[in-house]
Amino acid sequence: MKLGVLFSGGKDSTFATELANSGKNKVVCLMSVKSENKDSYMFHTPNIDLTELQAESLGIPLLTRKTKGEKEDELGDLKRLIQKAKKEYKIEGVVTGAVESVYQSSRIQRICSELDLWCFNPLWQLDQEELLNQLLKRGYEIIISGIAAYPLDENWLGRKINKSMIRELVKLRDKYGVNPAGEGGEFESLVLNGPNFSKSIKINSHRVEYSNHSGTFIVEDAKLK
Amino acid sequence: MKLLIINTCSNKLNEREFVLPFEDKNTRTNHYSNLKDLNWADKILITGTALEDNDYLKDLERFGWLEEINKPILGICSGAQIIASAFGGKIIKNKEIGMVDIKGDLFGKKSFQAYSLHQNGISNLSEFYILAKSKDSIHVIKHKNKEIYGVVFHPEVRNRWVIEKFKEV
Repeated sequence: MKLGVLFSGGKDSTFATELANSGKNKVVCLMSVKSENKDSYMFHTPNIDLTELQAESLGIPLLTRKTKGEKEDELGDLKRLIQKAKKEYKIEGVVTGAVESVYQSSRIQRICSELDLWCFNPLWQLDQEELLNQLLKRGYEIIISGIAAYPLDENWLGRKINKSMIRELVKLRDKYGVNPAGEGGEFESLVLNGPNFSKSIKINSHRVEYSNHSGTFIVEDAKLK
Repeated sequence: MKLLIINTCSNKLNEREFVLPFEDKNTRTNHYSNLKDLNWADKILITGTALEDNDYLKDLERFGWLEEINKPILGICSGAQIIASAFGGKIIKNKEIGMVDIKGDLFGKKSFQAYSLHQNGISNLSEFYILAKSKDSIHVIKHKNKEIYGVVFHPEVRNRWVIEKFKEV
C-alpha cells in the first residue's frame, strides 16, 4: 500500500516513517503542515523547516502546506495537503506518529475517512518510556527542541535524548506528571539522525528563546553531513 | 489466565495499534484466518481493525466456531460485529469517530467516555442483551446464555479497566 506520513521531523513521526516502510507498505511521500501558531494543538511547530533536510536524507519527497493555525481552520489545510498527496503520489493511506492524543487522532481519522484513505498509527498506546528506549536502541539521534512545562527549563533545550535523560524524565513523571515522551506537549523533539537517514543533520548555528518554563531551540543554519 | 488474541487486521501495520496494546506474556495471537490456539486459551479476545479495513466482512463464515465454543469471549469493534453476526445479528452502516458518552451498564459502570472508531455498527440482536449505548450507536452487548461480550468502542484507549474486568469474568 502506498502511504504518506504526516511528518513534523520530531521523534514520533520519524519513527512512524521507519515502521511504515515495511512489508507490502511503502512510504511514497511525507507531508508537513507549517503552522504559524506556536501553540497549535494539532501540529508540531519548532524547526518545521528542517523537514526539508530530513526528507532529503530519508530520500522521500516532501509536500508542505502553510496554515495560520487557527483551531478548526488548520484541519482544512491539513485535509487539502492530504488531498494533494492522494492526487500527486496516489497514496492509499496516511501514517501518523500519534501515541495518546485522541484529539489529534480522531481529527485525522475523520479526514482520512472523508477522503477514503486508510489511517495508520503505529505508535498508538505505546508505553512512553518504552517508546524512548526503542528509539535509542534503533540508533536515533534526537534533541529537545521545545519545552512547555514545569519543571523543564532552558537547560533542557538542545540536549540529546540518552539513557540518563530517560531516567530523569521518568522521575519527573513520577513527581510532576510530566509525560516522559512529551506527548502532552511538555516538550518537542528534533531528529538529527536515524537508521533510515542517509546523512545526519549538522546544526551550524542556533538560538534559544526562553521564558518561564517555555522555550524553543531554534536552528538557524543546518546542513546534511 | 491464558488469553488468545484473535487478530482481524488485514494490513500488518495496523496490528501495532489494534493488537499490540493487548499483548503480554500470558497472551498468544492468531490471525482469524489461521487459528491454532483455541484449545490452549482460557479466554478469547477478538480485536478491532482500521476504519477502512473491511476484509473481515468477506470472511464471516470463518467464525462458525463461535457458536460451538464455551469460553469467555470479548469482541472489540470489528470483533463485536463478528460476534453479533455469528449469532444472527446484522452489521449495519454506522459511523462514529472520537470520544463519546456511553450510558448503560458494563461490569457495573453506568456512564463513561470512550473512544469510538467505527463505520459499521450492529443491530438485530435478539440473542443478546444490549448493555450500553452512545447517542448514535449500540456499544455493549452480552450473549443471553454465554459469557460472550461485544464492545464497539475501543477499550484499549482510556478504558483498559474493561480488559481487566473481562479477565476477571
